[in-house]
Amino acid sequence: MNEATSLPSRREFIKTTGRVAAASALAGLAVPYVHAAGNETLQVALIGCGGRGTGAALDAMTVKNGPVKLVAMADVFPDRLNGSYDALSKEPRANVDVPQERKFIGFDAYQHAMDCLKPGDIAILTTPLAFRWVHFTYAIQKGLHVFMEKPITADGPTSRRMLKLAEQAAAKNLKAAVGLMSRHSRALQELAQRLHDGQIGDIILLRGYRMHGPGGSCFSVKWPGGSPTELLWQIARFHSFIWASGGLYNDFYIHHVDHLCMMKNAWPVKAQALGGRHYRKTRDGNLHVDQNFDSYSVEYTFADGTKMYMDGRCIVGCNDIYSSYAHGSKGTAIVSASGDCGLPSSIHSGLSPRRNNAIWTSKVSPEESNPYANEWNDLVDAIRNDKPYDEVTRGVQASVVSSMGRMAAHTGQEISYEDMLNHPDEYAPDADKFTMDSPPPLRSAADGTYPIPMPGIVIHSEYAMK
Amino acid sequence: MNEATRLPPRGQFIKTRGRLAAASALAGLALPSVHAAGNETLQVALIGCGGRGTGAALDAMKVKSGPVKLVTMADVFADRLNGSYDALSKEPRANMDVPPERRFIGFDACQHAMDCLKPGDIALFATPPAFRWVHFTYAIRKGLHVFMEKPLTTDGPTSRRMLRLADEASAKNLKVGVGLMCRHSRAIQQLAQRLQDGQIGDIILMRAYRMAGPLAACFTEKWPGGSPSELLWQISRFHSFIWASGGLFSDFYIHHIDRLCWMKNAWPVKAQALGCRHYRTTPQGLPLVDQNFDSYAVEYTFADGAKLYMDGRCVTGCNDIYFTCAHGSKGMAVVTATGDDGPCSIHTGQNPRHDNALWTSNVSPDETNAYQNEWNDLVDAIRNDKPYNEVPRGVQASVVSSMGRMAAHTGQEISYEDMLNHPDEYAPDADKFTMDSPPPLRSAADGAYPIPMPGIITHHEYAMP
Repeated sequence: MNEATSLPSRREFIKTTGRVAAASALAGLAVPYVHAAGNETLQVALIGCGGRGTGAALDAMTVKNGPVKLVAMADVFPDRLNGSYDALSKEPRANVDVPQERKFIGFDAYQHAMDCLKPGDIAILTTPLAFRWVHFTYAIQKGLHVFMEKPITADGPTSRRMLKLAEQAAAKNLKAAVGLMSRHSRALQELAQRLHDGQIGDIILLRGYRMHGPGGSCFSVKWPGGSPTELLWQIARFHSFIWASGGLYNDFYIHHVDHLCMMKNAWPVKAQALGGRHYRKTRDGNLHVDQNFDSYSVEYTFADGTKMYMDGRCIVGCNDIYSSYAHGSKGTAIVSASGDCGLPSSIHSGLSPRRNNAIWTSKVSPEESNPYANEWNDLVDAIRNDKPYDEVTRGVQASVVSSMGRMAAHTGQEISYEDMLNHPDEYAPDADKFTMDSPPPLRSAADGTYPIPMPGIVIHSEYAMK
Repeated sequence: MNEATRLPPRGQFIKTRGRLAAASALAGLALPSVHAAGNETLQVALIGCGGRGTGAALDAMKVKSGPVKLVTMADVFADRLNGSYDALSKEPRANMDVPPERRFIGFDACQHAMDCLKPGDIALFATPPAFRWVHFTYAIRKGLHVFMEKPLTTDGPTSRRMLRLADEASAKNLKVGVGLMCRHSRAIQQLAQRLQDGQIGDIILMRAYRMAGPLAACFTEKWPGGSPSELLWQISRFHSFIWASGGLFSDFYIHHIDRLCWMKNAWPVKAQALGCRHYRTTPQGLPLVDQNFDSYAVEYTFADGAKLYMDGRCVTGCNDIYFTCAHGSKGMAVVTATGDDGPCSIHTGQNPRHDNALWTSNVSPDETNAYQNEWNDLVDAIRNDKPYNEVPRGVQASVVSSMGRMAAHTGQEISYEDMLNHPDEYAPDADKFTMDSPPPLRSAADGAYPIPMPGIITHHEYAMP
């Protein structure tokens, strides 16, 4: 499992707090081999320059335990990379040094960008998740710490692969963070502690809601043809395609799923779901060809019988709800008051949370109120002070739980955690071999439509596989 | 509210246990007007001769407490009436005398059938619910006890009307049973008592599932034209049309909703829902034009914050679940392990298993059929003059069902009051229909009907004319 022997044999010595570690000398041993000194500059490569990556890069550069400098950027779309570069360059707090020769475009751009780093630097992996295992593999090979955006996986084979990679990263003492920022919300951390201490008794019911109009690129009309290629077009509209993103369910709902499981301190053992696509056309009557449903109601069951409901909807004009709750035998908690992990969290007596029955309300100091900043401070702290830091295992588990809910809705079947983790279907098995000319992993029919989920009809796979 | 003054002035004296009551003499007074003696034959009119009506008529004739005889039948479909008559005639336990002159066909058949009864007899309503208020109005006028099939209403105006009619029936001391038979399940009655005694603590979560393939007439292709008329065709496929049945949601799921509310001993104050129609064509690709969704996930909220989830699906090949349960702060209860009756059980923890069962229901063999119990209970109330009006509760269960359906169909949060006070009436002329009437839901030129459009049509359940 330890791939340290395949490390590049650069005899690069890096000063660490209180000692000197030689990367090659320690190769093969599960001990710290690279980490930056307290005030040494950590270099960052941004791989995937969309909005989320750009935000993560800025969060990286504005950590309180810096300096952290952005030195390389990679994407498959020049306009996204340039837009990200321009936005970051205008940001006064940014620490950017990305000359033209360290901007890389293409499916191998990630390698070139990571090649600009030295072991112990940080790779930010914020492409669609289909490429996560590809990029993580190379980062481990290069001895890089990693921050990767959620979700991490969309299917069984890549989930199993990522769990193995997480072990390899840990064996090389690489720090790997996952953008499930709820885990770094100081309010949710305190709430989780209180719930684990039994302040609302036994948790019986958890409820997550994300219901609003269509978000991101979740609904797509047919590929118009021409340029960009169909592969690049699918990547640009990654929320529409399960292989790229896990669909809107994984991408939009994983935060609620993850932080409610954090409250329960367990992962559910199975899911059953109602869901469907009520509207398959634009208001102008054009057919949508993406693989998402517009309505999901997933019921997760924990080993002790506790239920967790994840209600998701992407329809304009309906009752919008975006919050999460936990009900126990002795009270109720508001987990996220609004959004993915919105403050404040609170604990209430009785079932119906109101101001006048609040027992505790979270109070977070202003400098720690942003979980996106916290997750970077925590990662860089772990790097600089050599603390164990593997969020990938937990991130894969959250991704599998998301996928099992999505799979339950899309097939109409009960799906267990093991069913999902061990499912044989891999949606983008050649993600490490893509070139600009590759066909997409999801092929369209002659009329431009794609295989879509058909609950009750296509039940052993999530959609008709080739 | 008291319509007793409109009783037909027939000077008909009916023997009652221990006294004589003259219907006309007491007209206008909120006093017992008519009830049958212990062994006097109660006559029954069956109005709506489908499978449910036929079954109810047989249950009526099998009650233990004295003779009940079917004397008249009414339907809008001759074949349904004849099929029902033939089936009942072959039944050795049936007690019937329905000569051809007491079999009535048409929209006014209900009146002719009820005209064959005397005050204190029983009218059995098993037509689609659109006609419930029409028939109930006439039964009250005729001084008849009533058994009516669920659901009772599908919209706000008829719900309010039926509540008023319930008051009128009570004022005339008429006994009214409603076919929410779970309320007469001895197992569920035992469980309800235990839950209300706190045996699982405070109820926090209730779950109901009815998920299976499409049933009955819930999905429908275009009206083929010709005969029967479009109105009669809609009635024969009543599950497909909200005006006729409340749709599959109200018709299929009201039992689950009703019995879980009973466990909570309350009605929910609001509902929000996810729902959709994933498949809108037959497997052969023909469009389905009915007004139902194939997936419903309705979350009801009670005043104290407790939740009731009603999961319904009509899609073949999916995970089929048919189950109800309640979770409390000190344990959980299986309300129905399968189907609509017990066995019920109470368990420690939230995961029901044999080894954590604290109690399991035990019902004597002669009371295991809730459909029979509900008739025994009704006739007992009639013969022994016990207060008996299940209509307010039946309307409440119908409103709660409709608010869940409305929440799914509009994509909006719907409160109990929103539903009860909603102005839309889906079949306002149900009392004026003739065989030639157009249907209350009109098709477009292509044969399609207005269907729910969550987020687009939000103030009505579908585009109203």
